[in-house]
Amino acid sequence: MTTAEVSPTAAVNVDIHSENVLEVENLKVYYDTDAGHVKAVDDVSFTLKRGERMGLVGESGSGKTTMAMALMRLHKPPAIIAGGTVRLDGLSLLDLNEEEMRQTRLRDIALVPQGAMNSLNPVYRVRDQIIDGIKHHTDNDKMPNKAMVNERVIELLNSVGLDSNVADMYPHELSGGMKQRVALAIATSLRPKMILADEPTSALDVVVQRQIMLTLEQLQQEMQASVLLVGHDMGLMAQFADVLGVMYAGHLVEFAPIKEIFEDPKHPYTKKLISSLPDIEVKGQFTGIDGLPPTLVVPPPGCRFHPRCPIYNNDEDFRGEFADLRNGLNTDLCTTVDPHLNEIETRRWVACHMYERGS
Amino acid sequence: MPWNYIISRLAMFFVTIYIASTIVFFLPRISGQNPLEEKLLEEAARGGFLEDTQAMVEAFDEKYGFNKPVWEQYVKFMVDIVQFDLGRSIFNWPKTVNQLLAETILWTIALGLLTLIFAFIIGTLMGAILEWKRHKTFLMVLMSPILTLSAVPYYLFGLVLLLAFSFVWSIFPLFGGYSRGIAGWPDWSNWSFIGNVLWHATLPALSVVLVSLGGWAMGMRGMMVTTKGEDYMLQAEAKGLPDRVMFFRYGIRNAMLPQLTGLALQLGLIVSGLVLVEVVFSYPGVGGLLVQAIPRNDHAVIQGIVFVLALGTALATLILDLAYPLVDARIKYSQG
Repeated sequence: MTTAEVSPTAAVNVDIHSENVLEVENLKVYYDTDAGHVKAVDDVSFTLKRGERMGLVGESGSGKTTMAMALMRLHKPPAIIAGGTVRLDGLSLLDLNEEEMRQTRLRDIALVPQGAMNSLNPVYRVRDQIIDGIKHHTDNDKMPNKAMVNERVIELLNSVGLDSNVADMYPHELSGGMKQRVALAIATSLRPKMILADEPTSALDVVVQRQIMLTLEQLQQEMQASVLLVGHDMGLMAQFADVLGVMYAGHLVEFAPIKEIFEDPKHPYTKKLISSLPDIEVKGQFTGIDGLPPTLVVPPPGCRFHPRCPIYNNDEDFRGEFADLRNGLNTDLCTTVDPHLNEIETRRWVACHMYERGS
Repeated sequence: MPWNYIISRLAMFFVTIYIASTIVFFLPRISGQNPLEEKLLEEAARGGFLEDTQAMVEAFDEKYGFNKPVWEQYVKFMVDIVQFDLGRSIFNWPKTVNQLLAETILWTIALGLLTLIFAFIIGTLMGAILEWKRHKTFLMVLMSPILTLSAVPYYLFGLVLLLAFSFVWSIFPLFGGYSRGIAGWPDWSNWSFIGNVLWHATLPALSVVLVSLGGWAMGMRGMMVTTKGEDYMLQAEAKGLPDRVMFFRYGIRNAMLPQLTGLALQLGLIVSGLVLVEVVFSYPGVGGLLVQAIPRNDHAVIQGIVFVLALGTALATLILDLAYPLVDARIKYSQG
C-alpha cells in the first residue's frame, strides 16, 4: 500500500539509473502584477541526490518559499512558472497534467508546512486527515480494509513519536509540536522520494524544534528520501543539511556542501551572511548586511547584489581576504552582466564575477 | 457536553420566554385603548346607534377579569400562557387565538421553512462555487443580478412577480392559498388540491427565495475567501486531494459554520419575515392574521402571535446552541 507505483504515463521518462532525485533547471517563477513581472525566482538550477538533505536560505522575499511551492506546483496566481524544468526522479513535473500532478503530490513529493500553523483541518479527527491522503492515492479496489488502514495510522503516529490515542483527537486538542508531528506523519504516509519542509519549526520553541528535526531526520534516513529544508536559521541548517543553497533576490547565488560553505564561503553575500551570525565570544556587536534587498520588478542591472556588495564597494573588512580575486575583477561586469551560476570546484557552485576570470 | 451547561442553557431559555411574555402582556396595555369599546363604537358608527355601550364593555371586562388590578391580570395571563391558553379574539369571536393560529400557522411555517431551506442550500452552494471557481468569468456575470435582487424588499419583488405572472401573463393565481369555492376543499388527501396549493405558493415562494438567495451567497462567498486562505487548504492541496474533496470537506465544511448560525436565527424569523409577503399575496398565514389584528386592537391575537414568534426564536437558538458542538468540535461547553 505504501510503496508508490509509477503511473503508466510517468514511466516513459523515468531513468532508473539517475542518482539525482531532484533536478531543477533554469526555473523561473514570476508574479504577474500591474507593475510588471516580479522575478521572484529567476533562472535557478540545482540538483539533489537521493537521500540528500538540502538547506535553502535567504532573506525574506528572496524567493525561497516561492521556489519551494513552485516545485510542487502549489504556487497561486498571480505567480506563474515562466520557464525551466523540474524533474523528480526523471519525471518532468511541469509537463504533467493536473490529475497526474495531484497523484504525484504526497506520493512522490510531500510538504511539511510551517510549524504550529493551522495546517490541519479543524473539523476532522487526526485519523481522518491521515487516511484521506492515503485514500485518494490508492485505487478503490486496492484500498485495504478498515482495520489495516487504522493499523497503518497508528504505525505512522508511533513513527513520529505520538501516542495512538492522538488518532481520535481534533487538531485544537494538540500542542504546536504535536500538530507538527501529525504533519510529519501525513507527509511520510506514502513514503515519498522527496520531502519539502518549509520552515517546519518556525514558531516552535527550541526544545520542540530539536525533537521535530530529529524525527524528520530519522524518518528521512529510514525512507532514504531527499529533503529540501527552507528557512533562515543558519544554525539549524548547519546541523541538518548536507548541502546548502543560498538565494538572493530570486537568484541562487551559491550552492555547496554545508561544511565547505561554512568554512569557506565563496560568494560575498554568503560570506556576509555567515559572518553576521552571533558569536558568543564577541558580545554586543551585531553585524549585518547593509542596505535592503532590491525590488524584483526592476532588479539592479548586472549582478543583483552589487549595490550591497562589499567587494564591489571595496569595503575595508574584505580587502585582505579577497585581495587577489578583487584585483582581477573587472567591476564594470558587476554593473552590466548578470553572473551565471558556475561550478568552480566539485559541487561548489557560485554566481559571482570574481570566479569567472578564465572564461 | 456537561449537564450543568444544558441546565443553565435551558434556564436561560425559560427566562427569555418569561421576559418576552411580560413584554407581550404590558405592550397592548400601554396603548390605553379598550379593544371591545373600539369594536362597539365601530358597530355603533355603522349601525347609527347602539344602546348601553358602556354597560356591555363593563360586563365583558367583568367576565374576563379586565377590571381587576393589573398584577392580578398579569398573574392570570402568566398562568394561562403556561397552559398555552392565549385567550379569545374579539374580532373573530368566539374563536380562540389557538384556533386562529392553528388555521394559519402551518401555511406560514410550510412556506417559510421550505423557502428558507431552498434559499439556504442554493445560496450557500452558489456562494461557495462563486469563490471556488473565481477564475471562471462567466460565474461573475451572476453576481450583479444576485446583488441587485438581494437589495430589493421581498414584498416589492412580490408585487413585480404578481404584475408579470398573474396580471400580464395569467400563469399563476393572483391571491390566496388555494382556489376557493370548490366543494370539499381544503382536502389534504386530494392530490389535485395539493397541486393547487403548490401552484398558489409558487409566486410567494419565488419572491422570497430569489431575494434572500443573494444574502446567503454573499455571506458564503465571504467565508469561502477566508477559508481558501487558510493553511489547511494549502496543506490539503499538498496532500494531493482531489478538487471535489477540497471543495466539500475542507472548503464548504469550514466556511459553512457561520452560515448555520445565520440559518438558526432566520428560523426564528420565519413568521415575521413573511408578514408582508402574505399580505401582498393574500396568503392565509399568520402574517395576514397579524396585519388584520393590529389596526383593530385585537390584543389577544397580537399577544398570541408575538408570543409564538418569541418562542420560535428562542427555541431555534436553543437548538443551535446545543447542536453546535456536533458540527464544530472546537466548541465545547465548560462550566459557567
